[in-house]
Amino acid sequence: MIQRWVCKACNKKWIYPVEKCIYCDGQISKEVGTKLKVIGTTKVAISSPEHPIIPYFTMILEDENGNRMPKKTMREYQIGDEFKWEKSDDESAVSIIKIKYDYDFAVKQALELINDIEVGSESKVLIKPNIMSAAYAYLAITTNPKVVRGVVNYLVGKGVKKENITIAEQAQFSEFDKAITRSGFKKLAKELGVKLVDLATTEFVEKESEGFKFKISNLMYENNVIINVPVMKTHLLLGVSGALENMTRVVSSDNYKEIAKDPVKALEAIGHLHKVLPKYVTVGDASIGMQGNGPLNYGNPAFLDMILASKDPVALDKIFQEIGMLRKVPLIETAEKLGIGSADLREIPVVGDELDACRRELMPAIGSKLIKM
Amino acid sequence: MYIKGVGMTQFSLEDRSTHAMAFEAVTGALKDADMSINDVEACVVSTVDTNANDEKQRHYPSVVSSLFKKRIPIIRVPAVCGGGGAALWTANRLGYDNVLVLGTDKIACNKTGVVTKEILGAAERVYSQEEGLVFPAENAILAQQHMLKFGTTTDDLAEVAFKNHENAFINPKANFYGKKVSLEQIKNSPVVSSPFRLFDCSISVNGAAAVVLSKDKTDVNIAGSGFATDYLMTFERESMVELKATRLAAEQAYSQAGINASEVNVAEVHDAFTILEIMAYEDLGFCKKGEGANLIRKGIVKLDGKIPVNTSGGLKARGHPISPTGLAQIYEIVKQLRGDCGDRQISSPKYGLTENKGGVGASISVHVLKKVGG
Repeated sequence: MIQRWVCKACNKKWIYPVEKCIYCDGQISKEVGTKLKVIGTTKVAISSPEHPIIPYFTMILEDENGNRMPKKTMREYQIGDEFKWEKSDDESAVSIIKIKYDYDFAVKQALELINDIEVGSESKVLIKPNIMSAAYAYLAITTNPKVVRGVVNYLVGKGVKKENITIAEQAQFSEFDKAITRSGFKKLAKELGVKLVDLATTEFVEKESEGFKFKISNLMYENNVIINVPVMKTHLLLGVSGALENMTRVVSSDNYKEIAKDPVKALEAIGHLHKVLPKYVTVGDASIGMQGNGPLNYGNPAFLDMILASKDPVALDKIFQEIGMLRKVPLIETAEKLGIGSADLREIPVVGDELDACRRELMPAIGSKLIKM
Repeated sequence: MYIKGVGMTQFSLEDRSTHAMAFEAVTGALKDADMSINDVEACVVSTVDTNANDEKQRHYPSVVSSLFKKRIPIIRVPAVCGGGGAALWTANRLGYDNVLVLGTDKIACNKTGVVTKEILGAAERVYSQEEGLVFPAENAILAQQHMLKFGTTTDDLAEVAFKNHENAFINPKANFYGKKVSLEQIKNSPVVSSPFRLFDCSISVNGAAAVVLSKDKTDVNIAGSGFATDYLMTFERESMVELKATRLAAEQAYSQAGINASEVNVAEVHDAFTILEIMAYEDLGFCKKGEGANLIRKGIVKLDGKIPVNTSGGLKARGHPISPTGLAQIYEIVKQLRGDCGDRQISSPKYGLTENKGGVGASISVHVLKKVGG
């Protein structure tokens, strides 16, 4: 789909979001084209850091409104071909969407491609972002509030009442109020009129899976739809911090520390935690994303400009690993062995942007003498 | 303003600092102008912001101040590949009696992928950069559109490259000076972004060029100086077979000079990719839109043709160090108007034109130079 911001009064168009028409002061509305045709294409044989796999193709697509955009693909299209993305209702499907200036649009597209979330006016929805510490969103330590805004707007668009939407998290590395203030979530929740809850203040329910004991916030069971919104990062101990890791902060603080103290055991614990958690949908925030020695201050922003979505957290983390061309991630392997989801690329339908067209080499988390864990 | 002196380094892959190259170009221009650095009242310098080389220097005006021991107004005018022309356009309007214009860049300095990414910083991020629309790809699509609409062929593109390599072969300032490149080599070079082959692309080099502008009457006058900017993304523009900013900048320059395109005797145009030279013929008014290929087919733009284009070898074969390019074009036209081009000298030119592009036709300057008394 191609989106433009259009002044209906004088028909000026912008590729970027603008508030109002600078020529006639007219109102701006969005114009979305859905019938895309290939009008130009080139096969590129030179690699660059963001496009390491060659050859690839970049096409110029044109929609029914005459708007155009380039699109990278690994498939050869011919001029005149129709271009469209197919949805998948496979439980392990992962969508990849490159954000084009509009987070709401990207989140909506990502969720539509995995056959949407079943919600309605009676749904009670819990959104679980990563607000682990007091960090500004641009550092990608915490989830980008723009992505959560997109999720809330998606839900409201589906008829969910704002009073039934709760954003909840525990900040394990700072005071909760500092974390929600600096990360931008306090302001966001106020603007959107949704609840923002410190999970540490909730009741915890005891659960067990094969000897692993968990104390899980009762909010996880009181809401009938859970949306996990991790920021996608590289992680010194786990390899990748994404959908699976983000759910570790729904357990009590003592329980979290117990899990975190033994990294090897943590791999299994996170897997078993997922055996007792309700099913959830993940919207992976790779708008900025992190590379290098994550998940905290030693990592670097990766500027990926992507949104991932899936109903299978293992598959989503696996696709992030593949996008970043990261080596073996034990957390993903362990979770797959425990039957939490699929890490087999042959069984994960990727919809939206093509996986190979999105791959780029992220700096892995390998540690250094600088880092004192 | 008049052009009093020009200087430039040879454009090459040699590992030289931007300071050393700037020093050589400026001392050359001052010598050519028969002036001292003491006579310079202001300086406009153009460089690219790059972290790809070993200098990592973004405050270049102060580098120029240190280098020439001058505490005069020195301003930087970056416009990526169009920086040199933009600097000249700016200097021409400053009002000083004597202004030094300098472009210096070290771009052949790292692995190809790193330099490609660095140069791609001149393109829009979420559409162009993220979708792999590297500059060869974006220009290749323009070539494809031109071919589809007007019947331009890959042979036409190869002929442009061949002409410019032939010219560079006899230009001591060119990277390809003394290096013969055959039409067969060009046509058989590897495809980098279809329909472009390697020899459809200009070569990234290091270099510097400098021009001294003066209110004193000299033998070369800036008769017209036009500038126009277009949208960053070619696919956002109304037409993908026209670079409108070239047309607009040319209209300004012709109007100021009081001439039309048919009166131009020699031109240096921004052939970062071969298709851009063909489109420049059209957008500068040397022919009608869509007929650009005829000029190369009929030899009109060759050294002995009616309007020789890129007698220096152009970006294609003289080399393209980014910001200095626009000033190297001025260097060549000044030398042509003075009759100082040796083997590549054309016959008695009166008007010469330069067209310098930043981005894919995004920041365009067009200058018309006139031989005074000619």
